[in-house]
Amino acid sequence: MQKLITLLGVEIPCANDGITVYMHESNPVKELSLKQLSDIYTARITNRKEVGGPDAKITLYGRENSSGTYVFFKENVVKADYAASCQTLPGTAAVVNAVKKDKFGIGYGGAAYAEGVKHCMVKRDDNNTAYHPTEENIAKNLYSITRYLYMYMRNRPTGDVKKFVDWALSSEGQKVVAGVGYFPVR
Amino acid sequence: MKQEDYDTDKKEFKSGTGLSLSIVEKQFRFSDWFAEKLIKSVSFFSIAFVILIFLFVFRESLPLFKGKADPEKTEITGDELSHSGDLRPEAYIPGGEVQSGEELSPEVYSPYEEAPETEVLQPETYGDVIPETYSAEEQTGYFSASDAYYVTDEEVDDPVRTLFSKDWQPVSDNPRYGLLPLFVGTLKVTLLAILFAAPLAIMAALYTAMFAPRRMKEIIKPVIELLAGFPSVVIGFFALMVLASFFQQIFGYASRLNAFVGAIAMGLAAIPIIYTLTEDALTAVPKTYVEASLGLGASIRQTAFSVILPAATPGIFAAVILGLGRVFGETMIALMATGNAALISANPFDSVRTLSATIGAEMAEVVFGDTHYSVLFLIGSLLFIFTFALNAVAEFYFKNKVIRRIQGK
Amino acid sequence: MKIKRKIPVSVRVVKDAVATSLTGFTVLVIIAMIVSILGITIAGGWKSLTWEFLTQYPKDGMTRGGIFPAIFGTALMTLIMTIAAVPFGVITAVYLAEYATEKSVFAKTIRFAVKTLAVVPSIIFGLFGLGFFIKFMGTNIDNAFFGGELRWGQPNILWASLTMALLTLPVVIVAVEEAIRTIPRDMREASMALGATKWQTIRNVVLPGSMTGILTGTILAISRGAGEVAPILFTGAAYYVAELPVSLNQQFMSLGYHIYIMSTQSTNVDETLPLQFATTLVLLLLTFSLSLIAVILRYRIRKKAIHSS
Repeated sequence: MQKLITLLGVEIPCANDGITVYMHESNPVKELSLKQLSDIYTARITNRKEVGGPDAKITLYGRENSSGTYVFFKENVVKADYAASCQTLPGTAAVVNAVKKDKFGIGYGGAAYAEGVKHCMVKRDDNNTAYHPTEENIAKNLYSITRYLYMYMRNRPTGDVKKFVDWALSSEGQKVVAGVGYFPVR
Repeated sequence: MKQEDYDTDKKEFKSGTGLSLSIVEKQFRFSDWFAEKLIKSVSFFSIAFVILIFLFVFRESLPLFKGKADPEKTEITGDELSHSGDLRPEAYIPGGEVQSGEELSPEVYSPYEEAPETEVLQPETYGDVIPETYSAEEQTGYFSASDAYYVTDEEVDDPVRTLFSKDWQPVSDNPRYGLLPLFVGTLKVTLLAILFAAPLAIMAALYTAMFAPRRMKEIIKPVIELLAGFPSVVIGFFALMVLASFFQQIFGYASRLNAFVGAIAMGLAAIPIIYTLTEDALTAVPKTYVEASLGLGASIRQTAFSVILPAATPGIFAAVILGLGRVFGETMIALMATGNAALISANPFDSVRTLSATIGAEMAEVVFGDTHYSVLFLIGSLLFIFTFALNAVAEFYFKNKVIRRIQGK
Repeated sequence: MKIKRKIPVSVRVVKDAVATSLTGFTVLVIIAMIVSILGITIAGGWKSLTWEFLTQYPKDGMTRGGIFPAIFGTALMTLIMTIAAVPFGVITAVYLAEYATEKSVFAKTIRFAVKTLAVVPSIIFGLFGLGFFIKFMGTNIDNAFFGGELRWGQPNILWASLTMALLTLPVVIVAVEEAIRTIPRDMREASMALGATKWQTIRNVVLPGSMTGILTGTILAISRGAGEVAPILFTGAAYYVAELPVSLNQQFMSLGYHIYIMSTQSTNVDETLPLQFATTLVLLLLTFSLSLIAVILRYRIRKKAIHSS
C-alpha cells in the first residue's frame, strides 16, 4: 500500500495527527512505554497488573487491516503482528465507542476521535518521561506516536487548487485543522 | 391442491390454442413464435447470472492457484491504482495516472519552502517521519533475540500453504491467510444464531398454523414477516448500540462485541425466513390428516405435535437450512456486532471474525491483484459454494421427502 | 384406546393449555423484539427527524446537518435498479407461469437458479459487481471507447444499481409469477375463444390482470434494495459526496451505508447518536411502509384469487 502511495503524484502534508492510546476513564493506568504497548498488542502482556493497574484482563481494540492507522501503529509501535485476540473494528469511532464502554479496554486511533475516553500518556522508553498528545508536545516532538496527514495530487497544484492548498497550509487553514482535532503542521 | 388445478387449466388452455380459429393463428404465428423465443431466452439469464456470479468471483481468486505469479501482479497499472483510490473514500487518490517511472517519490509541495519546517515536511512515506521522533528505538529495537518468535522469520513464499494455518494475518511482513479461525468463527455464530432462531420461529409457526384463532393469524403472520423488512444494517446498528450493552449488563462478559451478540442479531434476521417456510410446511400437510386425527379424538395439541409436526419435518428442516444459509452469509451484522477478532475458541462470549465480514471489511482497501485480494475472492467462492449446496439440499433432498411423505409413500 | 383412558382428561386439558400458551408465548417474544427495535429507534431518533434533517447536506464532518444526499442516492439507485430488474423479472415470471411445462428441465433449472439467487449472500453480489461490472465490463468499455481513460472502470451508481438489480431479481420473479397464476382461466379461455393467440392473450389479458402483482414485486424489490449495504460496499457507495450524482459513472451516498459509517466512523459517536437513530428511522420507515403496501397488495391479490376461483 505504501509503495502504491509513493508512486503517485504530489504529496502534501497538511496536518499532524497524534495517534492516541485510548483507555476507559476509570482506568488508573496513566502511562505506557512503547515497548509496553507493543507487548500489550502482541498479547505478551494480557493483565493490567503488569503495567501498574488492578488485576484484570486487558481487552484489545484496533482497526481493520484495511486501515492506514492499523498499518502505522503496527509498523511504528507494535513492530510485529497484532495478537489474534485484538478486536478489529471498522472505524476509529467504533474503537472509541468500544473502549468507552469497556473498563478493561485499550484502543488506538486519531486524537480527533477521542471523546469520552482517557488519553494514555506515552513514553519512548523507561528512561524518558511520558507525554500527553497535546499540540505543544507534538510540535516539540515529545509525543512519540505522530504521523502526517496528506493531500495527494496528480500534479503540482495550480490555479484554484493551488489557492486551496495554500489556504489549507496557511495559518487560517491550520486553525481549521486544529478545530477538528488534528494538529497544525507549522 | 392449487397446483393440480392449475395443471388441468394448462392442458385445457393448450388444447384451446389448438382449437382456436386457424385463419387468425396463421397470421400471427411469427409474432407468437418470436415472443415465446424471446421470453425463453430472457428467462435463461437467471441461470446465466448464477453461473456468471460463480465464474467471476472464482476468476479473481485464480491467481492463487497459479503459484508464483506475485511479482508480476504487484506491478501497478493506472487502472488498478485508480481502483484502489476510488475505493478508499478516506484517502482519495485522484486520477489514474502513474507519474513517469523514474520519479518514485512524490514531489513535496509547500509554499513555505524557506521555513525551517520544510525538513520535517518532506516525508517520502509516512513511516519515515517517525524515525526522527524516536530513532533510538529504531536502531536498537525493543525486540531482543528471544522475541524472534514474534517477528516470524520463516518466509512462506507460497500463500496457498498458509490457507490452512491458524493465523489470519493478511497485512504483515509475513502474511498468513489461515482460514481456520474464520471458519470456526462463522460456524460458531451460525450455530448460536440457529439455536436461538429456529426454536422460536418453529414454535411461533406452530402456534400460527394450529392454535391461533383465524383473526389473530391474519395479524401475526404479516407482523412477523415485517421483520424480514428490517435491513440487516439496521439490525446490526441495533445490536452494536443497544443489544451489546444490554447483554453485557446481564451476562457481564469481558468483550462487549462477541459471537453471542452477533448471533442474536443474526437470529433476528433468520427468524422470518424460518417462520414463513415452516408455516408453509405446516399448512401444506393435507387437511385429511388433521381431520383424521381430530376424528379419532385427539386434541389440537396432540394433532399438532404427533401428526402435523412429524409430517412436516422435512419441510421444517428445509426452512432451518435456508435460515442457516442466511446467517452464514450475513455481512453487515457480523461486521458491526461480532468484534471481528480472528480467534479460535469455543467460548460464545469471545469475539469472532466471520468469512463474510472479512470480505466486507478488507476488500475496500486491498491492493488489486494482490494475494490478499485473491484470498478474499476465494473466501467469496467458498461462501457461494456453501450456500449453493445448502440451497440444493433444501430444495431437492427435503422437498422430495415432503412430497413423498405427503403422498403416503 | 386403553392408553388414552389412563390419562385423565384434566391432564390433557392442562397439557393443551401449556402447549397453546408456550407456542403463543414465542409469538409474543418475537413481536416484542420487533416492537422494541422499532420503539428504541423511534425514541432515539424522532427528535432529530426534522424537515431540515431530510433536506440538508451533512455538515461539520457529518456531526450535524441532514442526510439529503443519502436519501437522493438511495432513491436514484433503487430507480435504476427497478428499471433493470423489473423487465427481466416479469419476463421470466411470464415464462415460468405461461410457457413452462411441469416436466420441463429448463424451467426447473430456472426455478432453481432463481432460488439460488435468492439465497446467495449479499456480499457475494458485491464481489461479483466488483469482478464483473467494474473490472470486466467497466475496464473493457474504457479501453474500447475512451482509450483507457478511467470512466466506467470504477465504482459508480450504475454498477451498484445493476448489482442490486441482480439481488432483487428473485423477489420480482416470485411476486409476479404468483400474481400471474391467480388470473382465472375463464379470462384466458375467453381471450382464446375470440381468436387471440397465446402471446396476444398474455399481452392483453394476463399482463394487465397481473399489474398489481408486478407492482407488488417492484415495491418489494425496492424495499429490499433500499436497505442492502453489502452489495454496494465496493461497487459505488461513497462516504460523502459534495454534489449529487448527475451522471451514471459517479459515486453516491446511500442511507444504509450512511448508518454503517456513522455508527463506526463518525468523529463523535455519542454526539451523533441521535442522527444515527434518525437515519435508521428514515430507512426503517421507508422499507416498512413499502413492505406494508406490498403486504396489503398481496393480500388483495390472494383474496381476489379466492373469490374468482
